[in-house]
This record gives sequence, C-alpha cells and structure tokens, in this order.
Amino acid sequence: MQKEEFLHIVMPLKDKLYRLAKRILISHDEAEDAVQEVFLKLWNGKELIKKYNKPEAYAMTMTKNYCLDRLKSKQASNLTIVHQNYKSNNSRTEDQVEAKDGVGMVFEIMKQLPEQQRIILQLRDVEEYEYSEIAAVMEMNETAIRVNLSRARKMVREELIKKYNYGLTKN
Amino acid sequence: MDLQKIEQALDAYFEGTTSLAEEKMLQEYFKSGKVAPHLEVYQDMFAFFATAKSEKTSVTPKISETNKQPFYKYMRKWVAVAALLVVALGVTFFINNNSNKISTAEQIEAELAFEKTKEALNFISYQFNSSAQNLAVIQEFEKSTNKIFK
Repeated sequence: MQKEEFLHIVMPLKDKLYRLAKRILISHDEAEDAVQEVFLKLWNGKELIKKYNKPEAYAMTMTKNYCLDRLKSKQASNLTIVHQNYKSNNSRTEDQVEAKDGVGMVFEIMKQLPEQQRIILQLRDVEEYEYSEIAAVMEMNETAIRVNLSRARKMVREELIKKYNYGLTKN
Repeated sequence: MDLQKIEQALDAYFEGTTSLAEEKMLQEYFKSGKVAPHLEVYQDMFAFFATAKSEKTSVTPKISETNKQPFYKYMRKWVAVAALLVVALGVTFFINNNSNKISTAEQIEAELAFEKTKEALNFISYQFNSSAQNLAVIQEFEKSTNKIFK
C-alpha cells in the first residue's frame, strides 16, 4: 500500500481517534500522543488494514486498546500523581471547550464513568455509531452494548439531576 | 415538536433502545432552545455531545518516520549477528595466537635446553679424553714389569 492511499483512508479518522483517546485518557496531550502512536501502528501494519472491510472500526479498536493499555500501565507505575498535576494544568490552558458551565459539568461527570461505559457513550452519542459498529469496536455483543449504554446514560442523568437540584436548593 | 413524542423518545433513550434517527431528533429538540422546563436538566447532556463532536486535534500525525522503523528493526538484527561474529572471530584468533605463542616459546626453550645438554656432554667427554691421555703413562710401568717378570 502506498503512503498516499494509506493517508487517504486514515487521515479522515484523525479527529475521531483523537476524541476517543481523549475520552479515555482525559489529558489533551496524551490523547494526541496516543493518536500519533496508533497512526504508527496502523502504518506498520498497513497490510493488515486491507483485510478488514471497515478500516475505521479497526482503527477505533486499536485506539481503544492502546489507550486502555496506557491507563493500565500508568496505574501500575504510580504515575497517577503526575497525571493529576498535568490535568489541572491542562484545564487552565488547553481545553476551553470544557470551560462552558453546564457542558463542563457533563465533562466532569463523564470522567467518573467506568472506561467501558465512557467509550460506548462516546461512540454512540458523539460519533453516532450503529450498535453493530460499536459491538465490533468493543469486541462485545450488541445486548451488552445496549445494557452498558443505558447504564452510562442513566448515570449521567442521575449526576446531572443531583447537581441541578443542588443548584436549585442553594439559590 | 410534539412534547409527548420527545418524552417517549427520552425514556427509550435512557433504556438504550432508541434508533440513531430518534437520537438525532432529541439532539435537534434540545438544540432548538425551546425546551420544556422539566426537561431542561437534559439540555446540558445533549449540549455536551454536540460540543464533544466538534472537538478536533490540531496535530497531524506523522508517518514518514515510520518508513524507517522497520528498516531499523531489520538492521538491528543484522547488527546483532555482526557483533556476534566479531566476538566469535576475536575469541578464536586470540586463542589461536596464544596457543601458537606458547608452542614456539616452548620450542625455543627446548632447543636451548638441548644445546646446553649437548655442550655439557661435550665438555664431559673432552675432560674424560684428556684425563685418559694422562693414563697412558701407566702402560709404560706395565711394559717394564713384563720385561722383568717373564
């Protein structure tokens, strides 16, 4: 496969991969590193990508697995403290998107969800994937996807209602 | 938009049974700004999805470097093989050279010892011969005694 052809397939996925990586890793810079790393992996295994009829699902699965591995190794190697410092730095400078009041609150709630539910919610409500596509990316069956999605949405709703009521009683 | 329809869709949404089209409808409804007061809680949620959708990375992933990576990996294998070869050759040469040196040194020493022994033996035989010459006088005595006692 030539470089042009490869870029033609993979480049449009760049932002999707980034959003997924950021949803999992939370940090903006780490998400970008992850995307870079996944691109390298895809390029090295570019012969494999042809075998998959949907390169997008393949790339998304790879990103998901890579980010989850990163999280695991970070927890294992005690780097979480560094990461927290990093995060607070990050929110001040980088992500002004998150600064918006109510929306920022949902960003915070999202961070509390278990990774799997977070990913599924991201894929469905942000990327608007079909259940079958999500099942392919998550390597799970559709029923499990629906159950997890419902749980994630309800969790977000609960937290929102909690915060909403808190705001009302406080005023 | 029909409020009842929205509420139904919202219920289905939280059960995870909505289709993409229904979810799109919900998105539109909450974006419209005309949200029923009791549904306002959910506005942030859908606003979040819209915001999250627009997130983009400014970084363009590079893949040009990757072209080299397999080459490096490939080379690394051969570098290892070459290093092993150099070490193996070095060791064999060292052993060979050393064993040769030992044998030549031994040979020289042995030759030297041989020469020394030869010299010593020659010296002894020379001394022996010269002493034997002096003994010739004794034969004269024997001659004269033989003359007397016949």
